[in-house]
Amino acid sequence: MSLVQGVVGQLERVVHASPQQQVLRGVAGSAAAGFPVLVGLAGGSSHPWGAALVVLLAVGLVLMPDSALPLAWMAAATLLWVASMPDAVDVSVLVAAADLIVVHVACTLAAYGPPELTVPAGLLRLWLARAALMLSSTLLLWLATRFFAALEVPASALVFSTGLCVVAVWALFLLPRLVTRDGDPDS
Amino acid sequence: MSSVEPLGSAGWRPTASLVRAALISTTLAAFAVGTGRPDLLILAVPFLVHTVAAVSSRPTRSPRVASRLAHSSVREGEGTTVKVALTGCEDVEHAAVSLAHGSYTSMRPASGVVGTSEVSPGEQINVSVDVASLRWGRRGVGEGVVAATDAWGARRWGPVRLLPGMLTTLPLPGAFDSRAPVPHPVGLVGTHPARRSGEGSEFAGIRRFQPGDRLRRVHWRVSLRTRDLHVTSTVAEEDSSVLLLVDSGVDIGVSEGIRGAASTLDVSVRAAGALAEHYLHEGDRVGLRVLGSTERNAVAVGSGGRHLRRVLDTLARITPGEHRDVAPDRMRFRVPAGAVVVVLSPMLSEHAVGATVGLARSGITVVVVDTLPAELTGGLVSAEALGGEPGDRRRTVAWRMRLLERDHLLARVTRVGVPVVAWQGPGTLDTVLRGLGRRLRSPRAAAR
Repeated sequence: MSLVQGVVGQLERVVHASPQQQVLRGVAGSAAAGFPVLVGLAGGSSHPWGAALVVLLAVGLVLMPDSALPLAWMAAATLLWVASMPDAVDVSVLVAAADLIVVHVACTLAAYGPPELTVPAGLLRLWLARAALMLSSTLLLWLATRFFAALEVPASALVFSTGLCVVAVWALFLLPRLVTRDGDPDS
Repeated sequence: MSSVEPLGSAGWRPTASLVRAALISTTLAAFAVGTGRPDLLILAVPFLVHTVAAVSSRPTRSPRVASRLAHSSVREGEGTTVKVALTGCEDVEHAAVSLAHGSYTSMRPASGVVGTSEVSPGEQINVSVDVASLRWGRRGVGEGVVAATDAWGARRWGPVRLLPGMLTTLPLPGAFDSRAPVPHPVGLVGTHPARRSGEGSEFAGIRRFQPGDRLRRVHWRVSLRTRDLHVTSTVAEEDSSVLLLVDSGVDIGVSEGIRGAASTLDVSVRAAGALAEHYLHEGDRVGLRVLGSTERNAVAVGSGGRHLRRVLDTLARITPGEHRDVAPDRMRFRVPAGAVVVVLSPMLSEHAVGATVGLARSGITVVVVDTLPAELTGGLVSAEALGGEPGDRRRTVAWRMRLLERDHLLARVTRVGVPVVAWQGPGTLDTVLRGLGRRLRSPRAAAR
């Protein structure tokens, strides 16, 4: 099957998807394609190829939200952020984080089942609360960052090493949980 | 009834969402620490929250799934429910069922995809999909897959394949009514006027009183005039036997279910159902033979409501195809004495014609109901109506040749005195049954 046939097949699936799925994919696609615009509005430097890649991957995640394309989009978007916005802790970081949350949650909800599935309203409300929790955590850290930035605390090798250790332990903790299966295997 | 089959190994697997959150959060955190950029840590936080929440509640057991049909048999156009029950759902947040689209079925919702997040008190999730059967027959219904997702959409169990349950769709009998008596009433009680006089309601004549006559039968006016007791005599009423012979050897035309076009076998089966329902309702005895490759192909002559169910059930099991091992003139149909054999056939096969001619030659009263739809007998039959591609001229030419052969076969049937009538619903058999009755009552030339 060629790439064109694959894309056409995925487009047909989107056309025959439930209205709720189409809305979810539309929200995810809009937020994903809007990320380069957001970076530009925040005063980031111009990276046309990077922005084009992000938009292309945004189209891909609309077609296949249950694949690795949303992950690829997030990697491209954060790389674009790193390249365009050197060390910015102003409100644009919060907006960018909110954009990533919208894409992530919309893709998660769209991947709950086949495109014809309508996710129950109760589950949508639950995910709205979860997104709010994610955003509020981000807001707390952003406020803390602003606070420490105002104090102008000097860089410390101890803090740096501790941070790296925490990340490494966290990665080691996560790895087995991502590659193994839980529950009874013989169900 | 458990009818599931895992697609590969079941168990909970991380979803793309959890993998994405874990990888993005870890990578961004590492970059943030490595490059000393707090903004990357801020971007990583929402994914870190998702990952921590997801990995802190790991599922401990897998659900068990069972599916069943609410009914094992329905009438054409009626529906049933595919019920899928997941037990042991303490770790399940959402379950989705997706049923495959089968032939001659429609589902509600039309996609056959239903999801729910309502867990009942017994840690059970019930998902139901309504399925309507649009054509008679036996077919598997409820094939599909079921999957479950745990909290935070982090892990997925399944998809597990749901095996289909067998649904018998009884044919919806077509409309039929007949006012004509069956030619050979031979039973004890029934509704058809017999050739002998006896207890009944139809007037036969006035005759002299005989010992045993009931007083209420005395015809006083004639008795006074003749000075001798006379009574009113009536024709006895008896039941009769009807043997339905359904030709399943060929199935011509497109079958679109109860609401669309009908093939020849559709017409035959629904007509047989209608005849069986009518005559059983009249108190007659009805039997069934299927002329073809159908495995269960006979129902002995019987009467009553439960017998109608047996007949319809056998009709539902009909599969198109010829039985090539048996010669048509050697077939034994075990026709009861005095029974009328109604052959329901498009008269397109040598088997059906051979059997009909053989029955007629053995002295049995046979009527052929032609079940070839009128739209297939005209001169301009489209290839689509024959189940072919549009503009397939070879198919239309072949069909015209087949119709010429059919004319020849029908001529063979009529030559042995078997009447052939097209199925038209109510009144289809009235004319031929009256004609057969007259023929049986009329004097016959005997060889000396």
